[in-house]
Amino acid sequence: MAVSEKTVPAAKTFTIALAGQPNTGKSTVFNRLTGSRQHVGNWPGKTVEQKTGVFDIAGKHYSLVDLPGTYSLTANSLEERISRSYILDERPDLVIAMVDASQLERSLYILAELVMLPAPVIMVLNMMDVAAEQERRIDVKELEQALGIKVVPMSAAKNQGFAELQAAIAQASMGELDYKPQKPGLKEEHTLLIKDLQQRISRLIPYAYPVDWAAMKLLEGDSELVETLRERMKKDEWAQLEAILGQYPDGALLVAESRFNWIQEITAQAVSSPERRRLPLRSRFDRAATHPLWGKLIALAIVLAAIMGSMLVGAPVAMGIMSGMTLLSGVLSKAMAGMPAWLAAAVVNGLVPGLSFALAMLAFVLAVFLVIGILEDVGYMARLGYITDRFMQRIGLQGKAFMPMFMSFCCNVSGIMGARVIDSWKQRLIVIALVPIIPCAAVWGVTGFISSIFFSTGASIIVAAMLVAVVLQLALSSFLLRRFVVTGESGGLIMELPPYHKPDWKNIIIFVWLRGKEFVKRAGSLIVLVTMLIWVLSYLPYGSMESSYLASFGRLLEPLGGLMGMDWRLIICLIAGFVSKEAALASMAVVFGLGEAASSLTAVLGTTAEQVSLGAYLATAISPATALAFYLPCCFPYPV
Amino acid sequence: MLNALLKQLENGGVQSVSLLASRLGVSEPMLAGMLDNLERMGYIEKLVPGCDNGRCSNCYMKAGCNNNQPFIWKITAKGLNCTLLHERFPAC
Repeated sequence: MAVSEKTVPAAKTFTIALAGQPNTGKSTVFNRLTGSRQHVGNWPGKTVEQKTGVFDIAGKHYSLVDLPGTYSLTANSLEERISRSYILDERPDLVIAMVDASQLERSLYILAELVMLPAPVIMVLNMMDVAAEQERRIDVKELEQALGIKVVPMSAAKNQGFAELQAAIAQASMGELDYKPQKPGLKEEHTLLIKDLQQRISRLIPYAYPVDWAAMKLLEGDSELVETLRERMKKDEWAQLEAILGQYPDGALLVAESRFNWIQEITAQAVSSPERRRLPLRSRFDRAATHPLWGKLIALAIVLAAIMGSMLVGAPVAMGIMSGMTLLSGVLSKAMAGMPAWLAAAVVNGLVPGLSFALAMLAFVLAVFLVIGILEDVGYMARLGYITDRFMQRIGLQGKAFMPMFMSFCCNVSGIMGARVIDSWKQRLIVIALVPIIPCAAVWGVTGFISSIFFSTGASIIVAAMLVAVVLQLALSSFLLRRFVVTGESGGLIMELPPYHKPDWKNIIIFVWLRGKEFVKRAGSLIVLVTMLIWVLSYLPYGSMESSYLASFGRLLEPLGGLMGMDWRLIICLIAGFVSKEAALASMAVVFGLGEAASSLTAVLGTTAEQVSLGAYLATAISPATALAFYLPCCFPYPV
Repeated sequence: MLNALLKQLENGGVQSVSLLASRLGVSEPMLAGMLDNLERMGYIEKLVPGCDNGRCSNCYMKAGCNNNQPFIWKITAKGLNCTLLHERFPAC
């Protein structure tokens, strides 16, 4: 690759290339070394930013070129081509390889490629402070010996290690650097293959390319090199080479394997991680939290605590909102006395009760989001999804089927949508059938609200009991599905679980606020719409609920509702819930609000334990909540 | 090493990075590097949990679905093919 005159340093200037993977602190080192003596432009003919700069050490002038951050030097991306072309064609006097000490094995991969190239390399082991926090001990001397190159430990963020780096650069510029790199190589059984490839390409590769490096790149299927050789080789030579390479369709894997073996050998003696007994409390907890048995017990305890916590926060706020709205209803009733009767009824018996329930539910939804926000922020939420996998395996669902189930904890709709990624239609069908069983945030809100109406402070116990029932329902479904539906496997998944950390309250509050705002915006308009529709149907044709179209329709379905201990009014609410769970609540407010004269919350919903027998009371009180917890979620994703 | 990782994925189930690293006898940063590479080479792919941006755009709950989602990888057809090849030709 050609480099413009502007970017090529003066002939006698010692030129250094700064290479490494992204996020290893390259920019910090570049800025610290060059200060304000930088030039920012583009790589010639490319849209990739190029940063060059100069600096002096003990009166000697140096030029520094910041190469694009890349994970490897295969010609897969523009950045990779720029980096390797610069090192091969421009031959800098020194390459500084930036490596993240806290992710040492991961970021050593590019070094395994750099040491194969002609320019000498020194390694800057940045983020030593982070590695120390992780209790990872890195023996720099041992690492230096294993690599055969100079290693400079650094904590760039703390401004530590720059003097040592400058000393190493000065040493290199005086030719005093001891440079005998240990290079990665393929396993013994592939030695002949590599030698054969080297012989075939040695005369044809570009002058700047080391032949051992080029042979490895060819085996990797490097597109740039393959193209060059295809152009330069005779047809029969190329055909022979292609036939050899064709025997190794996964040659790239062989080469990558050799580099990882090299990394393993290099770090075996130089790096030590904390012993298991000395693991920090968080790691020990994580072992338990992801354990097949303890993980489930911990999850159950955390979910129960979360439900109770959200009920404790949501219930008093909801009751406060209901009292406020009751007062408002009274004021509006008086203020609209002179207006047409239908208008006053629409506002006082339709709109206000509907909005009251929507706002009261908002209190529960926010409480649930608060709990979800905390669990996500501390890093536990992903574990909750992870440990459900054992259950998924028991019912014959694997791999991608796990994702929609995991997403359903937030919203069943996204879970059902997510089922589209599953290749097997049988598995897709089973997932769609199972997703609604998982209680989403809205279900928690609705069931919590309804339960709190009837059970006051005992609502959390009722909701927890419903959760246990949900688990039992899942177990029953698993039994039936295993018995009647045979499913195939679809491969496994690997999850990178986020690390635990202390909750960031600012983040959590923003999380809850944004979701609350979204809820008010979307659910608010939907609830008003459903409320008014229900009210219109309950008002027409004679202005009386009992003789309305809604009542006629509801009574048709009453025999079905009777099986669940519900009268026709509750059945109507359940049907409204097909649109969304909170629409069911709003309908409940309208239907019962019109049927009962009183506007207080308990009066609107009818009964108390003292008024009727306990059996009838429990049947009516629990049925709406359980029905909402178990039946279909918002129906609109099903046709998708 | 990389083949063993692909084999683990082929076997099914969901595994955490720490569990898999311990099964393969490598450190977590090493496993992370292996995953990076396999993904770049097309043997595994990263899945993005969360809402479908198009279809979920009107859902008021969507904001809660894309927060702090974990990284998830799955084996691709190329990866499956390689593990099959490896059984027949260990040097694939």
